Amino acid sequence: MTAAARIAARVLAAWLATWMIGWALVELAPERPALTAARAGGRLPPELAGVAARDRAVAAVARAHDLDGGAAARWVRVSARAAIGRLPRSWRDDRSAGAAAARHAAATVGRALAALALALAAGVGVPLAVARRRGAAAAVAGVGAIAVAVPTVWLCQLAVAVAPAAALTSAWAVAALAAAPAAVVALHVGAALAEIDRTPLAIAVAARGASRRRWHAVHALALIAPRLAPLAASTLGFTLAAGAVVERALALPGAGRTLVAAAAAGDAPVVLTLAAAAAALVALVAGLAAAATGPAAARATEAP
Amino acid sequence: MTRRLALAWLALIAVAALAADLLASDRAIVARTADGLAWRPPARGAALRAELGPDGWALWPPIAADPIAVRTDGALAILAAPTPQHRLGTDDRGRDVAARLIHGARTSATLGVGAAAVATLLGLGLALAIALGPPRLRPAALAACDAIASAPALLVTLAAAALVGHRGLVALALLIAVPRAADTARLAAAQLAAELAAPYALAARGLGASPARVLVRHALPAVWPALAIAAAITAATAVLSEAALAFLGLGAPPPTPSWGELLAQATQHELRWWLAVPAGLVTTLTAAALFALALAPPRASR
Repeated sequence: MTAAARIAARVLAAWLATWMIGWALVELAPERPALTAARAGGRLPPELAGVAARDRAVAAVARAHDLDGGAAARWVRVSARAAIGRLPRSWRDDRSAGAAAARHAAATVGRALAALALALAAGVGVPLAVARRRGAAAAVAGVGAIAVAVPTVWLCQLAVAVAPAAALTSAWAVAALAAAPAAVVALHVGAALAEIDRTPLAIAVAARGASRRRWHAVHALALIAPRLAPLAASTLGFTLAAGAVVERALALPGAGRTLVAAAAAGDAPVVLTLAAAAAALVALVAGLAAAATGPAAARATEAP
Repeated sequence: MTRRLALAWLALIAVAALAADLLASDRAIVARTADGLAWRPPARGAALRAELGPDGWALWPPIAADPIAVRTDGALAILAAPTPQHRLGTDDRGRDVAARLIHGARTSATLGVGAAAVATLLGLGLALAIALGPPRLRPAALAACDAIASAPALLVTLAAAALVGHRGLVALALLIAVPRAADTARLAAAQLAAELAAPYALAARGLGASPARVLVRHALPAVWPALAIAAAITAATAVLSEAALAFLGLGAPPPTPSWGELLAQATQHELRWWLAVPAGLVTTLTAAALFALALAPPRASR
């Protein structure tokens, strides 16, 4: 199997698994999906009196959204359609769930990818820059433990408190999204550098006259790279999910707000489409990062 | 030093969570009324003061305000800045912020401990099944754990909370715990497999020890430190997830006091500092203490 085929299989598995697990949760919920759909679409207004009228409204919604039949049959039907990209319609406004999810998605994905790049740059750059200083490892660990613990919502509130409202652009959002992942990456890189500096390869490279800066930039970084591949995926996952918090706190448009609105209304098709798209994107980045960092590590073990 | 500071802070939070009713409530701890001495008398605030009589007395909690109900002797103070009566001000319903902060520790502690316990037990069970099960199924099981663990935890919790529709603390703890259980399982399974294949374990088997004895006496004790680290990370994740979910309106059901709910109120009301600063600070310090415990180098064993 080629690397591209492996990545494609991973992406498809993430997409499908999210739909299968997610729809299983929908079926396990105490309320019937048709009833939730009717409620989400505003088909059960308080003035709709009588059990028979409510049952008729729910039955109509069930027919319109193909929610008839048993739970197992529905689960198989929804999973099979998701596998070929036929998504259910939104329970709230009857539009395609794909179209609802795609609205503002570019802004959220753009911010998440920018935050990923910033987190990796800061998380790798800071430990490398201070690696030769005394007590650097302890300082990176201490600052990292605090930075990773600051709630994203609080960071946004601090931004709102110190910056004028007009300046609260996407750049602030990217910085708020990148803070915690950068700390996690810095903690991993700091620990990995301390470990790699003690290996026989480090001693051999130093004995052959390579400077410490060259050791870190050429060999140590390439050795650490494979460990960063899963971190890149989890960082992207965090930045996509925390996007909902940042978009709400800074009043920015984005798919995160769509997700929160859909979640509050119980609109399962839109929630699942967004969650499955995020899982597929994370799987894609994980696959690409693993493919890119593997050969670099193999080359790095060759001493100059 | 860091470990001691972290433990001291977490002990403080545990005391606040356990003794929240004695620290912040408008019910007296003990009172002497005309009927005699009473422990936690049912009458509250002004009603109890009226019952006390000339010879009566009452010992009140340090913060004599209820975290949920608002009982005023006069005007209702909504979003009031700190005063001697309300040391951390009031929220948008006139409730005492200090009282809600202390009772919020109970919510965070319940979520943190609950999620950590569920994730650890579930993760250990899965790890045992993976390590002791058929070797042919091991790669697939580990890949499944990898896939679940790499899914964005906050997104999973948010989506699951929306799909299942439950908003209780138990459901929230379970939703946070399940993705973390997969992470705990892959960590523990890898360590269990390494320990069971180690020369000392093989030597013990050669000397006649049963597989169960090798597992219980040798392999499992070696896994405890990794499980403790995973549990601390799960608890920290639960505290931070609660803040994010409460901010998005999917946290603990109202009127449950929680730190995340105070942060959400701060955003809704032009960032009143008495709502944002204390809640943000205790959330950060609690999560940092748990992360510091997870990151602290292990103690040398004898």
